[in-house]
Amino acid sequence: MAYSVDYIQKIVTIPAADLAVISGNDYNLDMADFHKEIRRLEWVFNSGLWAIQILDHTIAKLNFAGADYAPFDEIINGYVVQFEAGIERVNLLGSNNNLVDILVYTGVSVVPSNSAGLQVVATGSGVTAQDKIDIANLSRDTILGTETFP
Amino acid sequence: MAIYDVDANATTAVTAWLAQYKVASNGTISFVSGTDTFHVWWLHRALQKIAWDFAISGDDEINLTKPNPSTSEALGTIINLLNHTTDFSVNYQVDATVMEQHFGGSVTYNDGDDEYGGLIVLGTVNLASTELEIISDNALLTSHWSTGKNQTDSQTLLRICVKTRTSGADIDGKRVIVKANEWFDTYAVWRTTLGLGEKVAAINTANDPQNNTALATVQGYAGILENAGYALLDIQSDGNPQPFYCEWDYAGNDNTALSEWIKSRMVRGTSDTIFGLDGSFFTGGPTMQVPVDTDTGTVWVQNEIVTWTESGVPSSGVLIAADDMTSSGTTALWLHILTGINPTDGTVITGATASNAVNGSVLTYTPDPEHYGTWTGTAWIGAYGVGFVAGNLGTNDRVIDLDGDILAPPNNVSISISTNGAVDPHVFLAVKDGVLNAPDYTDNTVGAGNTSGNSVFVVTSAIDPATPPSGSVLVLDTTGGGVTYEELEYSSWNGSTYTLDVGGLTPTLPKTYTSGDPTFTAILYDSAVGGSDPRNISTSLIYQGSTIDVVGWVRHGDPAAPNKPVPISGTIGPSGLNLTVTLDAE
Repeated sequence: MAYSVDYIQKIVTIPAADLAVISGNDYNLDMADFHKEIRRLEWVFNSGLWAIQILDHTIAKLNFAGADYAPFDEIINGYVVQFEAGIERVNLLGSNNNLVDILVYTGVSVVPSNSAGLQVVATGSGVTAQDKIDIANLSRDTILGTETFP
Repeated sequence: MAIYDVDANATTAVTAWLAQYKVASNGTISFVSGTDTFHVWWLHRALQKIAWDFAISGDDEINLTKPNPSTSEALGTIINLLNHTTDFSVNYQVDATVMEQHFGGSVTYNDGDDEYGGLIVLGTVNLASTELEIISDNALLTSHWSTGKNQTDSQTLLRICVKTRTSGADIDGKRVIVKANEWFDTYAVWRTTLGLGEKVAAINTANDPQNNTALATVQGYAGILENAGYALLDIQSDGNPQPFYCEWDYAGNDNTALSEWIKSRMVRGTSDTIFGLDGSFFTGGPTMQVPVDTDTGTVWVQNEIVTWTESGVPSSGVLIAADDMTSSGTTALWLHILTGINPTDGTVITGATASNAVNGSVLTYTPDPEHYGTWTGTAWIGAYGVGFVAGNLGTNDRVIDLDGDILAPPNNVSISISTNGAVDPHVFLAVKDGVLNAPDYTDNTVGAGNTSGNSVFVVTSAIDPATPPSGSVLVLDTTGGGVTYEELEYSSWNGSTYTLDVGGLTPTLPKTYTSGDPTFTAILYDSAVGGSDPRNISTSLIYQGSTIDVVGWVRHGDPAAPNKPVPISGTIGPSGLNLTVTLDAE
């Protein structure tokens, strides 16, 4: 069995048969396999060669300062992913990805393994002016209650 | 060696003439010695001189006791040697050697049964080494004029006398053909009919800038094909083929080589053949188009000699083309006349195994001396009826079919993608959407009657004329719940119909498609092939004058080692489109 893609609705459907069983209805999805299968579908004439690209893949950074950094997989161009109904849990292994963000819920609990590690944040405290207003209002309400002042 | 034209000093000319020839008592005029040449007027004047003298002198045996030798008309250009055999046993007559040394008019003798006609060739030739050829009765006259003779002014190339009548019969109606087919120069042909007096032929040649290869080299070119005979050629690639009488193919050479090779078949001194005819006698192409009907026999044979008799004149020609080689279906013949005169309505033209009667008026043509017209170095300006295989022609070429219509080949531009970095890259390229930076996936819709098993696929609107001649049309079975466009490989298209490729993946429709569902034609939808980088894929289309923006991508998704997809885009212009893509590992 292989993935099926509705290129018109932009839905990628992954069957249980293409997942690695852990136990019962719990599965692992090796994102390297996901990458290869999507690339194959994008490549073949009777599937998606004509269609806009599904996946953007950033190559893994290997042996960088003594560590191997995982690749990134991003579902792009409006495509969404769904797993075959009946699956309870899928662990996504091997890449940072956005599957959870574009997932079509079919009762499956998807567990990404994304690891941000070192992040880029805003310079300074990171607290915005609106944050300050919200904090002040919340403090006031906590102390004084939610009375309305004339 | 002196040339005594009509206006030469009479005393000097007559004295020189009498010194060079002997006039026997029976009237026979023969060459003795000398290198001078004479206007025919001096033949008459010299004879009159000795026939006026009281005593014979020198080697001549004529004096006042002999009957009048000759008469002169038309300012000395028509000389008639008189025959007094009956009364005086004197018959004034000349021979070929004597007449090789005369020019400027005609000489008749034997009571008019024999005649030499005067021929003057005017014009200029580029190469001083040019030697004119003269054809009489489908035979080359033996040259005694080399690169010119009796050039009495700067515009005169040649003045001679040609035998035009013998034993009471005209030699091919006194018709002659003058040719100047000198290598490196343009060619020239002039047909004329000689008679009394002196007739003019005009010959002019110039340097041919496209003819600068050594003759022996050109004669060694291999593979060039004449493909003689009637052929319908779709020069304009519009599905409306037009008639031609040949289809030249330079076959591995190029157009310049082809033009030179054709000239080499007709160059002076050649024994090569063209249209089955010794090139020395080929004047460039058909000289007439003959409508025909009533038939006998079976089939015409390409390049065969055909004959007919017109007004009692036996005539012949070469069959250059027949619109149907089976005489029962033939309606037109194209002939290159060799001897005689053109046939007229009702005259029967006969070949080895077929004949047809002329049906109507014969159209006469003057062929191009080089046969093909003009090759400028970058484009053909074709002569009447001369065709070429499609691959030899470009959009700047012009050819003329047998109907006389000028045809311009389309601008068939190439679209090619060169790829590096992957073994089996797949390429998709399509016309860009008018708004989005994406392919236009709906440039047409499914037409009616597309039933499973059909060998054609019909769309609603006419297919864009700027569509590759073969390739892939993609259709989305929306009505059937299709989730992807399905590829239909076509081998040709016309109007709004694609003919499916019988050797492709979809020789027939795999299902019934519903009218109105979307379709589009890919510019490219195929694998780039090749054993090593760069791997290439290409197609072509007929450029219609407006640029075409295209977008697409090159992908290699072999699970063993997929590559990063590469978007491609560009604009197809009058020179086509060439892209180079490198696929990186992913």
